[in-house]
Parts: sequence; structure tokens; C-alpha cells
Amino acid sequence: MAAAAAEATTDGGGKMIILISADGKRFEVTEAVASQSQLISNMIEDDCTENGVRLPNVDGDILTMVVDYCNMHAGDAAAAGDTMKASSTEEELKKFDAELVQALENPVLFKLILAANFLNIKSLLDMTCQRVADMMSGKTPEQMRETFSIENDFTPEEEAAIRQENAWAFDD
Amino acid sequence: MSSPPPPPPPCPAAACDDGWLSLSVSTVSGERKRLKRGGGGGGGGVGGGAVEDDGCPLHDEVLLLVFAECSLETDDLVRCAATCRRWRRLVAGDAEYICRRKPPSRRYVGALAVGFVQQRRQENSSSSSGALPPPRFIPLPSYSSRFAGGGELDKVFDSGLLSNSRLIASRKGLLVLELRRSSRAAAVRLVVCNPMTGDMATLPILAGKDRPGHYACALITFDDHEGAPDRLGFVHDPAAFRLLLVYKRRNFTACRSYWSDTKAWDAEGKLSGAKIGGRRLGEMTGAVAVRGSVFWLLKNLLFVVRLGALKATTETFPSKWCSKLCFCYGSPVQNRQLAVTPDGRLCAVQVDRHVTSNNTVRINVISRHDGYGPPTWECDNARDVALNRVLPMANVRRVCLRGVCERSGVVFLAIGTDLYNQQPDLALYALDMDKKEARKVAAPPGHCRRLSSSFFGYEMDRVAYLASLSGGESIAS
Repeated sequence: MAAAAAEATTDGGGKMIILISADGKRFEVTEAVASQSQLISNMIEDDCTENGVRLPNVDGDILTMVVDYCNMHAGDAAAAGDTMKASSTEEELKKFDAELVQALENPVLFKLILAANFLNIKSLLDMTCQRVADMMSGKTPEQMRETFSIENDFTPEEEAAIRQENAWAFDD
Repeated sequence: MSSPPPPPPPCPAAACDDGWLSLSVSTVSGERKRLKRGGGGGGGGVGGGAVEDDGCPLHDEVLLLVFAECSLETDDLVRCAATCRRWRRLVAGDAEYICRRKPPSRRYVGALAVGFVQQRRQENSSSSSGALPPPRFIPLPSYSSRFAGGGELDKVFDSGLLSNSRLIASRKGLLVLELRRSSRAAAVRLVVCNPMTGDMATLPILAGKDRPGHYACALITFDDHEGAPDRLGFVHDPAAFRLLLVYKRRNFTACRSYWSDTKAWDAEGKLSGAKIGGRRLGEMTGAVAVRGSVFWLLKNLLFVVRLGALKATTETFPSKWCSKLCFCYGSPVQNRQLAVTPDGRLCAVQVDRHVTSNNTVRINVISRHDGYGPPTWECDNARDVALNRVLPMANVRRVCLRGVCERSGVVFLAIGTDLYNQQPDLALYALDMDKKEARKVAAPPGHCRRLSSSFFGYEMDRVAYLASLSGGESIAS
């Protein structure tokens, strides 16, 4: 079935590719959509996508989001010729992107950023990194530990030393 | 790009001894270990190098991408380094990578100020060709506890090469030294070093027909291209610098630059526009680069070189903003220095001439505004500091501005009880322009700059500061 799907073509989208998530869910996307991922783009070039692309690091629910994102953004290149259309889709895209990252719970956001990094989708990675950086900005170490579920492995003396030597960054 | 490119190699290094960073100790462990700048971690694959399991699902490579985002300022990164060991290792070890695309901070970061370097000619040394004592570094009180044994800091200058050198500039964490030159006719040998890392670039000798006579020099760093129409010719490397020399030839004013990426001098260029005498070029120090131009201030004359067009212009510093003169050399000189404000404007930091009714001396900042027509200078009143609020001003008859650290907003001021500096300074203070606080600095009694001595404030660059957060733990990968 995978082989058949991989051979199938749609009217404008070119060849189809099957992506398989860690939990076995299958996603059928065009090559144009999939090749926004540098990883998959390289695989297409190397001709090793026939039997579907297994992504053992990416769960189905995260891959759903990634595929949605890529589907939305695949229009970019296609619409480039039509400036009117391009500008309207650009606005739509921005709105879509903002809604995508703003609504996410932290654990999901972290999984998405890891998937974007693994699949090497630059625009998605930039956007998610920016969102995480905004979450760090202005926070105290305690707040950051809570947000990122970090265990404090400093000794009390070490922590006191960092704070004392760099007191300027800690007074509110 | 998901995988960070390998960090650039350190500046052309004819490595001297270890830099000051290697002397910084954690007040806890007291152990001293060699720190390596730009460790190059984060290049590992998914989950690479995650020895410490701190519970955070983001692995090193992704965290470095996040830390490198522009919205994180230096203070955010310090707090990140204070959350856990892994984050501290990343911030300190990969500071160079994290900062490579970050724009310069838009506010003063006081923690960058490390101290000052002073060089004094021996009192009874009659001839100017006599050997100079090496420059001496004096840390600020806030830093002296972090560096083990103050004396060791001067080792940077005691290496054979620099033992007889003259300090000529300090900017953006780098020092420029001229190796001993017996006369104006001798070859010019220059060294640019980062005392924090110990990186040292020995510039090719300028001898024979390449030898400049009197010259003015300006150190231009990668982040000076902010606000400039182009990148000032820099490749993308935050550690890159360029040293510009301006000097006279028989019929024209010449200039040429040393570039850290090619490790060579470029061809001599001709500077068009305003003319200036060779002797005056030799007297100009304290150059500042901003928005594609380099500025020197000599008395009331502002000498400007536009880097793109290689064009020189001169402006007169408005007499309206006259400073309280400094009489220490016998002839009165302006008590001011050029700097760049955190929002990227040229400014002059000066001791104000106007003594108010309650006998207050102020430090003020006059910044230059470009627009249509000639540039204007305006006093940034919010930055005024009334010295009697921060210093013991009783019996003080002179206030001498010795050095300005523009990134950290630290101004070095000497006070004395006599107008003409017959007696040494009463005390030296480091004034924090942001907090408007002054702290006394333990320093050997000094005199004003120029003939008898030179004085340069020293502040490290952001990369060195973040690297210093490692707490003495080895971060070399």
C-alpha cells in the first residue's frame, strides 16, 4: 500500500510520500510539502522514501501538527507568482503560526521544537525557539526551573556564589 | 539550520599565557581550571552530551538555539546559567555561539567593567626612548575577589613580547599595544590582545616604506557595524576586528587597516576631505566607532573618518557644552572623552564646567544627533550625575576624567585638592552611570594621562563575561 501511495500522484502536488510516526500513524503528503523538512528533502534526493519514512522520534499527535504546518506553508512557493494571493496568504499564515505556538502546553511545545529540530524544518524551529526564548525572558531561575521542570543540581553555596557575583542580574 | 556551525577559531593567536578568565575562581570550590572560550559543544546529535539529567526535555543543541534568540538579554542568560549545571555549562561554554547573532545590548551592563590599565613613565626618566615599565592592571573592587591574586593579572603584560610596550587603546574587551619604538623613524609593531582569553594577535611589522610616522589608530569590532550602511567589510564573525591607522604621507593623508580574518594589512588608501597635521594625528587617542564612522576628539576638534567612502571631515565641538577644564598638564585641556551610548549614538562624557549655586560639579553626557543638515549635540539631562551626592567633595579642587567604559557605563574619575596636579590624586573613583553610584578604587596615586602616564578603562566583551559564569568548572569539551 505504501509503495502504491508513493507512486500515486495528485493533480498539482507531485509525488506522494508516507510519513510514519513513532506510534505507527501514517501521513500521506506531497513531496513539495514534505521537503520543507531538510531531513526528508535529503532522503528524497537519495531516493529512499519508497517504503515510507519512519520517524521514530516523533509521536503521531506531534506529527499531525508538523504536517498541518507544512501543508499551510507549502503554499508559499506555489503562490509566489501571484502577488495578491501571496500577500493575503502571508497574513493568514502569520495568524496560523501565532495560534499554533501560543495555544500549546509546554510539554507539547517542547516535543514540537524537538521534532522541528530532528526533521530540520528551519522556519518551524525558528518560531518555536523564539516562543521558548520569550518564556525564559525576564524569569527568575526558580520560575525557569518550574517552567522547564528542571531539577536544581547546584549546591546551596554554588547558587549563592552565582547570585552574589552577578547580583545585578538578580535584583528586581 | 538546525546544527550550529562550528564556532570560529579564536583571534589569530600567537598564544601568550593564559588569559584572565583562567584565573577566575569560584568562591566556592577555590579550584582553578583552564577555561576554554567557545567550547564547541552543542554540535552533538540529538541528546548529545546530556550527561546531566536535569529533567528538562530540551537537549543541548536546541537549548543553544533558544539561548541565541535575540529576545534574551545578558541578564536573562545569567539567570539561565543559575538554574542548573547543564544550563550553566551551555551558557558559559558556548557563549561565542550564543552571542554570534545577538545585537549589542541596549542598556549598560555594569558587570562588564573589569578595571583599568595604567602605564606610568618612570619619574626621573629624561629621554623618551627610555624603557617603559609594563602596563599595570588594577581590578575594580567587584572583580578583585574573583581573580586569584591581583598580581597574576599583569602576567599578560609581562610576557617577553609586551614587557616593553606602550598601551595605546582599549575598546570592546581588546587592548592595543605598540611594541617599543625607539624613534618615529622606527618600524611599527602592534599587538592586539584580549586579556580575558589570552588571545593575542601580533600584527605584521610596518617597516620601510610602509612605516607610518605619527599615526592615529582606531579599533573597530564586528558589532560596530550596527547602524552602519554596510558591514564595514567584516565577514560574519563576532570576534573579528579591524585596526585602522591614519597617518600623513608627503602629499596626502593615508590610511590602512589590519583585518583579523586575513591577518594582514590591506593596501594603503588615500583619505579624501579634511586635512590634518601629522603631529595632531599622533596626539589623537580614544577613538570611537559608530554607525560606519570613526571619531577622534582633540581639544574641541572632532575628526571624523567615514569608513565606506574613506572621507575625512572635521567638526567643532559646540562651545556651549564646554567642559570644566583640566589643568593638570600646565595647559588646560577639555575634561571629556568620546563614547557610544547604549542606544548607539556618539556622545561625549565630560566634567561639566557649570558649577551650580551649591558648588556642585556634574558629570554629563552630550550626545550627537544626525538628521537633515548638520549634526546637533544635546545634553542628555537624565544621565547627569551630581558629584557631591556620590563623592566626598570637600576640599576637592580638581576632578579629572580618566577613562570611560561605554558598554558598562563606568566612568573613572580622579579627584585632587590642588588645581594643577602638583600633588598626586586624592583618590580614584569608578562611577556607575546607570546606578549613579561611585566606588573608591584602590589605586597607586596617579596623574593625568598623556606625557607622564596613560590610563585606559577596561571592560570585557559579552562573550568573556558569559564564559566567566562557569564558576571555575572546566567547560572545555
